[in-house]
Amino acid sequence: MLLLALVHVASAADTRTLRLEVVAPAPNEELRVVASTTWLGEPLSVELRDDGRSPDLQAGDGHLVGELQGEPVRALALRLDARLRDDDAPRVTWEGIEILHGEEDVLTWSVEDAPAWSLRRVAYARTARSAAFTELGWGMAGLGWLGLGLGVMAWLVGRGQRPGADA
Amino acid sequence: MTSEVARSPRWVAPVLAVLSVAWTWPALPIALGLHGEALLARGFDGWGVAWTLAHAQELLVGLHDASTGFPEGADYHRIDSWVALASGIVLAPLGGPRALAAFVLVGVWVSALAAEMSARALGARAPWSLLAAGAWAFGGLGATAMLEGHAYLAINPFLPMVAAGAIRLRDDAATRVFGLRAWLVLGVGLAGTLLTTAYAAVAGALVAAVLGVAGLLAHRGDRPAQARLVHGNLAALAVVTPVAALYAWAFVSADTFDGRLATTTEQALTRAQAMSLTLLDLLGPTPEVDRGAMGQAPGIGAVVLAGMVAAPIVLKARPGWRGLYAAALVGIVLALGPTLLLADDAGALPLPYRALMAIPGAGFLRFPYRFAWVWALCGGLVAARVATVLAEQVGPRRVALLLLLGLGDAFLVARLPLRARTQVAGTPSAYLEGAGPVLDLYPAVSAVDEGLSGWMRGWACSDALGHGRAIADHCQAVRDAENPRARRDAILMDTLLSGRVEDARKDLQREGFTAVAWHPDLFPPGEASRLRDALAKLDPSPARSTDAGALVVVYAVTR
Repeated sequence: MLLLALVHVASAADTRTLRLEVVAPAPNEELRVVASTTWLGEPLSVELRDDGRSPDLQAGDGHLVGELQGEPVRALALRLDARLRDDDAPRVTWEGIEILHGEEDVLTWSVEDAPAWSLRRVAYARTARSAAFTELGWGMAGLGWLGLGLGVMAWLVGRGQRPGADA
Repeated sequence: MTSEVARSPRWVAPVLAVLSVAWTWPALPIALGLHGEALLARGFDGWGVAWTLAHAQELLVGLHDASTGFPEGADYHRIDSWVALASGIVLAPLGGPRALAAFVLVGVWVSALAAEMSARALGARAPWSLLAAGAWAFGGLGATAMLEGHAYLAINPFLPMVAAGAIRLRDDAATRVFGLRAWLVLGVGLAGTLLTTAYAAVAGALVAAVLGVAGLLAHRGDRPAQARLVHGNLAALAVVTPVAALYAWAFVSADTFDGRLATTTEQALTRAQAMSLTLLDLLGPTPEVDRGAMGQAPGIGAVVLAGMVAAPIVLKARPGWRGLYAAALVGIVLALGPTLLLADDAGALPLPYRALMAIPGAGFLRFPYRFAWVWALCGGLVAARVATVLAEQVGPRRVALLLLLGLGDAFLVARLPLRARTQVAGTPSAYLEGAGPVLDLYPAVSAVDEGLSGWMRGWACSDALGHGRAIADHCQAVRDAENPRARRDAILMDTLLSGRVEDARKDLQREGFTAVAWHPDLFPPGEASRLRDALAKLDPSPARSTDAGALVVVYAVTR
């Protein structure tokens, strides 16, 4: 509880860091993504990188990462300009208004190949296939939890049905 | 058949209070003012509820508010929750965000206490009665309501009262004692559900009807007992009738057209399906559900499911559980909506909700998943009774595993407080550098992003609590089509962008606005640039602020 309290109080600090992640189905050295916004009147932009330097964790893994910082803000109008290959012209690939919460400082997109390539806002910093498996994992965990409940109940009922149990 | 309700140990209320504080965290520090200005909600509806709580005293005078929906004023006869409105009388001095946090915290605790007492009315004993409290107050649906901002849905001691009253009424009918307390509890519970929301009222009526029929069946062959049961239910209805009349009067007195009501059965079915549970939703929420679907995947609850499966074996011929069992099943089937779906893909198995939607007026029931409240309550009560009997059979230590499962349902499946989010609250100071009605200028949003309308309306209304100037927003409207501010914004933008700045000024002055509060960060850069140039002609030296999480530029139109 104390830890949670500290986390929440810390989140009320004056500076917020917004982490932006784009995940490609396969590493692509030519993929370029630039995120831009206006943060409390200040135009900001950042190129998302996959070079292993902070804030990116690992070079060449297909995860492009960038960060924006500013004072606490309710919402940002974000725009992502991207190109898949060096000889392509960058184009606005995604734009929209994102509601920001104090504790939620990561926004993620996945690169979609079909029908035309695009960026899709998603909950996970994973490829579409990996994200689907993660969602499935959550479902399996939920199913397992229900199974555990039924198992515990079956054990209790079994013991209660034994001769000598106080019916 | 009548048995005394087991007394609750003194530790029950404090334990539920501690659980409520933990589960709703950070509601406590926000309510106490220790968290800075923050609103506890993931969805935009939290702003509207916070505004209702803080503005309750003004709203109660005629349900018409001159400070919103300016210049006509806004009609609030179809207010979402009368309970929230009444709670606001006490909580308003805290201000919107703190009042909402206090409302959530105290409300969850009161709901848990009511469910625990209801479980004891069914014959459960502490600590097993806590299973019902957990399923009801700390379950997935409570979490969804809290996260999406419909806090008043999570604060419902009245539905447990309906169940407790109906159960006791059935027991009392077996004796010659006319169950005074029972019908009063049932009647007050039903009235309370009606004042909570229409969905709670429908759920309450469903529980009362199923338990009433079950009571009549339980007294087969005993006509005097059946007559006493009918009289008790009629007495409860007499308690509800004045409240229902008041509710109906308010509803039909509203001067706002409800554009959300579907015009065809097919439209109603499509909308209802989108707000129904899929089979995957019964397993609990995922991060993607939280991001894109307002967290509307409550989970079925391991304790409730296990209790429901075991009840026919464990409770056998014991009285009083079959009605709850039937009500729980009806509730979960209705929550699945018109068609049974595995996930969000097409399904083929039609469900009873489809027939329900054919009834005139049923188009209002656009959120089938809320019928899962009936499952959570009645299933939780059954599970508490099952655990009580099992504890007698195999000993309390073993059955304590169910309490651990209940904690898991609340903190691992519903995953509060981990999923809780806050938003920056407070009032941008630019509003304070002037007086008189102000028109907030937000971007128009497409039908696809209509949720954004709710956010903008919420911010405008929340800001108004701090600056006290009249605004054009209707603070209970959701979509742009229902919000007078959005209509005025569209006209203003058209006028400004076509270069008719003085016409815009005259229009604003004629309607009584003294200023335009522009939110430039949310506009596309090109449009923002053109609007900035046009607005500068309206007022070359506007007030500007970047506090409270928003850039706001307020242009006076009276210069």
